[in-house]
Amino acid sequence: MLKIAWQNVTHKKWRALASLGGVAFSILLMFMQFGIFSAAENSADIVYRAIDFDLVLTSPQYVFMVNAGTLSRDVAERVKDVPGIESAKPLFASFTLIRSLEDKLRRGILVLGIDPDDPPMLDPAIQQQASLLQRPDTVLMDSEARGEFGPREVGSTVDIGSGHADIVGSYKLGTGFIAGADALVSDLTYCRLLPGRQVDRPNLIFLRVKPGQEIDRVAHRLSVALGPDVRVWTRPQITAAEVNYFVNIKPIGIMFRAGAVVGFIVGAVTLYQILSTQVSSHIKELATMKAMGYSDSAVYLLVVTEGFIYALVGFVPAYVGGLLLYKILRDAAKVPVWMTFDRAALVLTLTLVMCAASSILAARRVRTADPAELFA
Amino acid sequence: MIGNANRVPLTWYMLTHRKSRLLLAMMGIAFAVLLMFMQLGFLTGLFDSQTLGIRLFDADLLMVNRTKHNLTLEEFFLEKRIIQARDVPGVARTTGVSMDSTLWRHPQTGRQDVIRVIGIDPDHPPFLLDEVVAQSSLLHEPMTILFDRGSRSFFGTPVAGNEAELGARRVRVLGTFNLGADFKMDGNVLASQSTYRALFPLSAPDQISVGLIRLKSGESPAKVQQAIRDALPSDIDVFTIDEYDQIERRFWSKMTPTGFIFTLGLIVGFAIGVMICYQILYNEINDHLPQFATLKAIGFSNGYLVGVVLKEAILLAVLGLVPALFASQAFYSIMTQLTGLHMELTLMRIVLVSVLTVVMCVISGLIAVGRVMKADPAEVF
Repeated sequence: MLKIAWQNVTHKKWRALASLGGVAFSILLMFMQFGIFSAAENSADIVYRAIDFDLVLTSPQYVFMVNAGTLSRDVAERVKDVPGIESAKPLFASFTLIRSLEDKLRRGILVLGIDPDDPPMLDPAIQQQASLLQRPDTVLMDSEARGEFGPREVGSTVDIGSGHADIVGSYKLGTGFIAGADALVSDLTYCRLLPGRQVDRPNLIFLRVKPGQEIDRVAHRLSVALGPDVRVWTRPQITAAEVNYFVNIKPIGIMFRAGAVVGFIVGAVTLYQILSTQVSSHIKELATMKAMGYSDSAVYLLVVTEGFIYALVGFVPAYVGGLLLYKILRDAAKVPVWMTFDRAALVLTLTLVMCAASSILAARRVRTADPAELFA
Repeated sequence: MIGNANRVPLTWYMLTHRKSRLLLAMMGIAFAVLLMFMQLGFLTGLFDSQTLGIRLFDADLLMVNRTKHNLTLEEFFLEKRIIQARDVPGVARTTGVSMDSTLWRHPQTGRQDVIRVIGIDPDHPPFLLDEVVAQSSLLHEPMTILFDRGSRSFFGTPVAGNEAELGARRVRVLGTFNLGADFKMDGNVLASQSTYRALFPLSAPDQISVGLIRLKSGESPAKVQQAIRDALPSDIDVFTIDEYDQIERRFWSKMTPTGFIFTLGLIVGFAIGVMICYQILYNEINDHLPQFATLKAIGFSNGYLVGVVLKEAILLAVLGLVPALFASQAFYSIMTQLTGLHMELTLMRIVLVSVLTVVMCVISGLIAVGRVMKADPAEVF
């Protein structure tokens, strides 16, 4: 059966190639739209993933990381009295402007303020270089910033916020749809560069819970101790809130979701289009098989096998094309998108199902029709 | 040679020979067109929503902080600059607008979301919107606002007379207007400068976001713009509405990945269209190869056959476009409802996509037609 299916597919080489190109392109479209949607999800908690924490404290005004509200002055002190907390590290986050050293234009950048003696980030490069930030007006730059931010070599001085800062190092993060570039400064430098900010009023405080302590219980203890002016989040809670904000509330998430749905439909229609013409082009042969005594299910098995061949052979170039497209998106637009096993498996499954369904739909004429009629 | 060949609508017969296949072909092309409309709609919806507020300002020139490169970035300048500008020859009147964001509580659900508060002088309505012009003076009453009906649905639908909670303060809604959400902010309210100060006690009282400058009639904007630049300190800059519109567009197309993604999507939509159209035409030609060969045998030129295929291609484009237009119109209104952004199916966009569609079908027609040229009558039979 596989042999007949294969011969049916390859019988007319050019036609088969054209169809395979179409199949591959439909799969690529799905890869593109699904990938872009996942990049919006991926961007959402990108900074949180770089930080070592079990619980995080914010003001009740929290909307998303860069619009988190400000904690009142004494929160950091009061946390120390709550049992079960191993460490508490503040984070300041805000958008400001940085002037490119190249074209002298100012662009929006995400600035994160940390305690240089005790940074909350996991990245060893940040851990090692954080102490350099003890000197006022120094900054670590993300080397994953978008290209138009220009060169950011160590040793140069940049015009950032309402002051200047020396670049003393770099790290790799990439903030996707949140910001085109980001930089790390000490809490003191943060308040110098952004007027109106106070060093004892951070936007977030990240907590590590002592080993052996149950995170939910500590969270409850904190809510009771800190009262309604502080919101206590577990890691899954704040991640979910962040993803929800980027995917369901911001227009960009809604657009990308619509893009993924339309991409899927266009892919499905194209596949159906291709496979149904394929099947109907040798409907006479299928009718002959039936006249020779093959059962309906044998005929269906044949067309479904053909559909699978198209799906599998078309998937290979589409997968390679997807890898390439993701690389272009990462390099040219700093969109955080990678090929994941889950997405590849999802797209392959969808393709197999659609190809099989299209083939069956196109072949149902064989089942109902009298073989003789099909030659008319 | 054969003069009356065109009297037979050959193209039409060939296309409609198999109705179900034609339907399938139409659907395929329609979806490719919908894909293009979608991406174009996103791209232009982004730009339009970001620049709508600028376009609606009742001003000839805008004054902003020198470092401000897009309207949504919170950068302020000294209010006295806008007063100083009144002394520049050619300026008729000026007014300052403040913008900041705070939390709005949905009156029914209690859900809190960030909304933009636009602080204005109630005697100088900032937007050329009838409802704003008519209702601005009401805002003299402290802690009152006008609510933007174009805000996203999760803010609720307050009407005149409702009480609401804004920035943890009680405010009274005196009326509504229609401006709409943009990429950065999901909704807007208008308040007087003094209400604005009460809502943002921490912001400096002498700072504003945008200065609106109206010129005396007959004055050249470019000349007054230069005069203001010369007369005032360089911590501010002045732009015409068109210039600032361009700055805003450039920011969103160049500085965010979004512009790139939607442009890429448009290109891929076009490529998919070429692919689908090629599939259809290839199969058409393949199935009608004997007919094409016969035409050739009875003396029709290659040029005539190419013409038939291209006509088929264009006919397919048109047949696909019609349902796609209806689908796109529906898609745009759904997206506008979901995102609050402005997505409009303007004539220009319809023309652009139509041209792209025809080009797309003609390209695939030209690729597919090679097969007809090679059709050897003898071989086919």
